[in-house]
Order: sequence, then C-alpha cells, then structure tokens
Amino acid sequence: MEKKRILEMLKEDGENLEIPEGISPEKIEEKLKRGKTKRRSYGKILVGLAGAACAALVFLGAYQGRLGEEAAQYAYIEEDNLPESAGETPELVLETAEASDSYDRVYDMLVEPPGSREMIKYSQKDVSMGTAVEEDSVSQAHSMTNLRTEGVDEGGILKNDGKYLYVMQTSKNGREKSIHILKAEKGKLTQTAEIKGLKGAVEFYLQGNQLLVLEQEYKEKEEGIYTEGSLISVEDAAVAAEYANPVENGETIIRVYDIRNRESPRLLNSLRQDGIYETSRIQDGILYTISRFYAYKGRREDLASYVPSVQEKKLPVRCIFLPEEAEDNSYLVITALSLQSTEDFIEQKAIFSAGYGGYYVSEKNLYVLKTKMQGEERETAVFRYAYQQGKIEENGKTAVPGMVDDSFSIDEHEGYLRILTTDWKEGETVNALYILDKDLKPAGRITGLAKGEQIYSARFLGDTAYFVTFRQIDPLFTVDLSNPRKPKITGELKITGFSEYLHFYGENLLLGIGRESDPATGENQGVKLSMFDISNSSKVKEVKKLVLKDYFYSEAFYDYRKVLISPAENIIGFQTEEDYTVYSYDEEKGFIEELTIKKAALTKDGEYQETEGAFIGDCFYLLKVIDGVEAYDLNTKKKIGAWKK
Amino acid sequence: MEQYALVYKDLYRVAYYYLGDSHEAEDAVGDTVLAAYEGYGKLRKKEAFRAWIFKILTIQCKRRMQRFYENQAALTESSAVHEPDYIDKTYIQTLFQGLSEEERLIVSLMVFGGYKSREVADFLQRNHSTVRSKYRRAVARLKKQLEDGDEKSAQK
Repeated sequence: MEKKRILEMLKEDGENLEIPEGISPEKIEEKLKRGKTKRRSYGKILVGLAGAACAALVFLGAYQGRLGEEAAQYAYIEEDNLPESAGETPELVLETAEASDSYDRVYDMLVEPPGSREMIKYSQKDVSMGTAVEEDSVSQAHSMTNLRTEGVDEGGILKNDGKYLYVMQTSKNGREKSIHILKAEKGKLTQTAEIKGLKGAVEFYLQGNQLLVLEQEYKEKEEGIYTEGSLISVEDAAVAAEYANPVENGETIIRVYDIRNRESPRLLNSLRQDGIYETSRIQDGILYTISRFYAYKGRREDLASYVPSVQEKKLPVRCIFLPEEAEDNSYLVITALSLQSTEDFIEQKAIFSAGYGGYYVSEKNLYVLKTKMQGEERETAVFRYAYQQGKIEENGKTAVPGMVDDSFSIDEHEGYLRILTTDWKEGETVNALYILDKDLKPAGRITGLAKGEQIYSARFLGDTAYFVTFRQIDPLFTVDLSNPRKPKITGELKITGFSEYLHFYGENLLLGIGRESDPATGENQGVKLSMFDISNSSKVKEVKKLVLKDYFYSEAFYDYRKVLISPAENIIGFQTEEDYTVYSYDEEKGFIEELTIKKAALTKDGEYQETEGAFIGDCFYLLKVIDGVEAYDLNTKKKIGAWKK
Repeated sequence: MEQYALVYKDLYRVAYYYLGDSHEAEDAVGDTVLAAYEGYGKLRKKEAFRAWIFKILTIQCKRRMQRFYENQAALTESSAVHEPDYIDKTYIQTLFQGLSEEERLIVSLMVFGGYKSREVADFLQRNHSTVRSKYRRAVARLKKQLEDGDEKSAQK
C-alpha cells in the first residue's frame, strides 16, 4: 500500500464524517448575535495579536492568558521587585571590540533549538506617531490618519492632503499591490498616476511632496533533502520538497518617491533592511523603520543566519544592543532615514531578543514593550530608546507587574511615564497605574484597582488619566496625576457596556466606541457609542449614547488608525462588521447617523476587503482596498462618484 | 460568516481526529469561532483568516486535551487510560486514535487542515524537522497497521 493511499483514505474518511449541526454557520451566527460577553475576555487578548505586520506570524500562545477564567493563580510580582531594574541602562556590549570576534557574543546567546521555547507573541497593538503633512495651498478641511501621538506620523493605506487622495489597492489574490494618486474634486475622482508592482507593500506615508512606501519581501530559503530517520525514500523526498515552504525571514524595503509632479511620481531610492516589517513612524522629517529579523543557530561562520544586514551590509556589532540573557532569537532592526537626503540611512541599530509586547512612541522616545509570562508571573519590561534627530540611543529600562492593553495605556508626559496594567493575583485580575520618573524610577502608583475586571481602553490628557475596566458594568475611572508621586482617583462612573476605544472630542467631551451589555446577564447587546462630559473630572457623565443592536464588533476596537475622526469637523467614521458608518454628534440629539454603506468590506464575490474613510470638505470618500474608492455627498447622503482601478 | 462557512468542516475534522470525540470536537470548534470573531477585527490580513482560525483551534484543542488529562488524573485509578468511545468509529479512525497525541494533531492539521509541515511547525512552535519526521512516522505506522489488518482479514 502506498503512503499516498493512506492519506487518501484518511481524507475520504474525513469527508464522510458527519458535521454537527451546532457548528453550522447559521447556528454560529445566532450564537454570535447572542454573544455572551463573558467570552469577550478571550477576544481582547486575541485582538492584540493580529496587528503584527505579518498575520501569518500571529501566534496564539497568548491565548493562554484568558483572564481569570481558568483557575490560574498568577503570582503578583512583589512590588519590591519593581524598582530593582529601574533606571539601569542595559549594557551596550562590546562598544570597542573587533567586529569579527564580537559576533560570537551574539552567537553564544542564541537560544536553541530555535522556536522550541514557549514564546508569547503578544500583539503589536500598535503604538504610534503624527501627521505633519506640509500643506500647500489647500483650503478645504480634510481628514488625516488617526495617530497615537500628535506630531508623530504613522503609515496607512489611505492618505489625504485635501486635494488628492493617495490610496492603496490590492489584487484579489493579495499578491499585487499598487498606490494610486487620485485628484478629488467634489466627489469627482480622477487618477493622475499609479505606482505599480508593489508586491509586498504594507503601508505608506505622504510627506509634502514625498511618498514613502514600506514594503516587505519574504526570503525563501533553499533546503536540502531531508534525511532524518530511516524513512527516507524517493516518495519521501517528494513529500519533503512539497512541504518545504520555509519562509524564514524577510526584508523590509523602503521606497521613496518624489511626487512634486502628481502625474509622474519618480522613484528616488529604495533602501533595504533585514527583517519582516513591524512598524514605522515619521518625526521631524525622519523616518524610523522597525523590522523583525529571526536569527537561528546554524554554523558560527554563517553570520547571515544570525546577524541582520542593513543595505546588504552586516550590522556592526557596536550597533547591536544585547540583553543580559536572551529569551528569544529575534532582533528588532531599527533604522532612521532623513527625508532630506534619502541615499542612505543615517542610523541603524538592532535590539537582540526584544521579545513581543508592542510599542509606544512618544515625541522623544521609542518604548519597546516585552511581555513576560514565566510560570505564573506576568510582567511588562519597558525598554526606552531616545530617537531624536535620527540618533537612536538606549535611554533606560524598567519593568512593571502585569500586562499593558495597548499603546494608549502607556503615556509620557513632562518626563514622567504613566503605565496602566492588568495583572493577576490569586486567580483574579487586578489593575494598577504606575508612574515612573525621568530615570524610570518609581514615582507614584495606585494598585489593586477594579478587582476581577480588566482594562479595556485608556486615554491620558495632560495631568488626567481616563480608563475603562469591565466585567459586567463599565466603570470609567478618572485619575488626577498632577502630583505624579500621589496619583488620585477622582471619579468612577458606572455605566452599562464598555468602551474599547476612547478619543477626546472637543474640549470637554470624551468619545467612547465599544460594546453595550446587559448588566444582569453580561450578554453582548451590540456596538455602542458613548459621549462623556469630562468638564468636571470628579463628575464625569455619560451624556449621550447610541447602541447599534445589529452589530457585535467594530474595526474601531482594534485599530485606531482605521477610525476616521475629526472633532473640528464633527465627523466620526468606522467599520462595524462589514458595513461602514459615519456619524456626527449633536449636544441635543446625540449621535446622528450620516451615512451607512452596507457591505462595504465585501467584494462582489464575498471576499473580505479592508476599508478606510476620509473626507474633504463635505465629501466623504470610502476606500475599499480591492474595489476602489466611492464618493458621497455628506449633505445629500448620495453617492456622487466612484473610481475603480 | 462567509469565511467561516468555507472552513468549518475542516475545523471540525481536525478537532475530531485529534480529540477523538465528536462532542469535544464540536465544542472546540464552537469556542474557536466565538473567540475568533471576537478578535476578528484585529486580524490585519483578512486573507490570513484560515491560518489564523486554525491556530485558535489548535490551542482550543490542546487545552481540551489538557483538561481531559487533568480529569483523568483526578479520577480513581480505574479507567485511567484515554479510552475514547469506539462506537461509530471507522476502522481508520480507531487506528488513528492509536497515534500519539502530537502525531494526531500534526497529521490532522496536514491532512484536513491542508497545512504544510513548515506551517504546522510554526503553529506548534516545534522544530520543522521534528514535525516532518513525526508526520512521516505516523503515516508509516498507519500504513503498517492497515496492511497488517488487511493481511489478517485476508487470512480469515
């Protein structure tokens, strides 16, 4: 009997298996609509995961972290441990050593065998930076990418300068990508140029007359025929070849285009760095790009297997930050590129064994978070790198107990770093706020907050922190941070449901986008918009709310950059399930539905496609990443134009 | 839902062959899809849905297996062996349950999930060559048992 036949028999057997009714799409859909929010706690952990630049790398080890539901008894990291590492600068190893020898230090540190260790790849719930688009003679109000930190720009698949829309399009199979420059005049869309052949483009930036594309390219490795054990045969060799699909690593490519002439973009330069694209920011005319390079322990002479290259040159060992002990074999490769002269990078560094935990980028520092879950303990290590004028320097490290929800839970303000965490103590969740001084030494803290709940969203505004925890009902906490050594809870508003995303909406308002739930049963009752009046921080009120009963999740929960929001122009847009909806807010009437574009995220064939909204003046534009752009008049609510590749 | 409709049968098959119990498999798939849809919005590349949901399933199944072992340990000494219900099982299914836990997972992911050993290695955080050799050994074992079975029935 041939092995192939066994596989066929198995397959056949599987085909004949009776599939239970209970998991049919119809039944599941019903269940989802009823969706007990009790389950939601997985979701929140899951969601963190997929933000990684490469979804294929998403690993659900993190899933183990179902908060409090299972009997895990997570030891609380003793507070005494907190200051221990604070302020110590990680060792920058071998500053003066000869490069050729010193790679040995890296080699000897490699964890082996690669990949065998339980690693928790926590999410890249991204953290961020702001758009400083140089305005030319633009007169109309228009949308910009929603950013984490004002003044620190972030990439996207849609950029808008008030005259032109710059949009990414993907072929149906996802393999071909292109960027299109569209002149947008009151809903009339005319393409002026197209940049083709961007196979692995992830996102791009618009900076005045430059367009920068971040692209990733996977490297396929040749593999020899595999001979382990005694079972090798011709047939096996064929199987081995078939299964050899080793996407081991990749390269990140930065393409810089001059678009002074919007009709003929000119490629100025392409730059390369090893590693799969993670994230990037632009500040003060400098692009910082982070990629992740996976090292593996081959032969010592084979430097390429464990030393990343930038512009095809091995990174000098003095540019590599080594930890005291390696926990995983990946590097974060960080480069800086001045947009003034794009021939070469002005800086290149790599952090070895950087772990997984996300980023936060303030105006001055890049924070790399590393979530550690060893045994029952959880902690978040915080590594700080100053990144001014293109120089990237180590700038301290510390660790706090618990885990950080996303980049909005960590915030730098006047030299202080404030971090909100959720931790586990005796099988129950517990939340805390830590304030660290300029040397990352503990300044103040509030611990033991909201037992049994976890942090879902947060926003810092100067000396005030707002954050939402949830179990059955949603307390919105307000914390006064004006004395960093003595943070004080000044308010606790309890309402039903909870917010997954918070955004300041004008001077005294805070918008929450989240879920409604039944306070008695915890049952998920739909997507909810809340407006909080924060004029009196001790008496925060939910002044208006709107529940969208037909939906159970929104893209806004997971990626802030997908939220179209402009308090000045009073417009809020986001995708809920497959539809795209646009709202405005009125003090009297509350949330007003301006537009709902049904099935916006589905192609004709029912395939999923990303969407993003933008506006110029009274015109709303919806980008569908496969099907082009549609234009709507916000006054008449009518579709007034469309463009398709 | 469209994306789920395309994969749910394969999800169930993987769960069933791995866990060896239809109720457990059904629950595992149910939990997986609920968890997946909670996190769906964050999945940046929706085209990666299939790979992603299978990862969730893998973890779900492993947790169920773990729970099963824990329950076993808690029970009295008698019946302390994983003795799945053989009723309604085809011959090949019965043989399949004779494979080790990890072999069942690897083979079912590859046969019913349509995964390549490289991807399975990624899922399980195992060395690629380990996964390949386990796969090969498991298939070889099935083959041998099926042949032996054939011989026996031929002798009768």
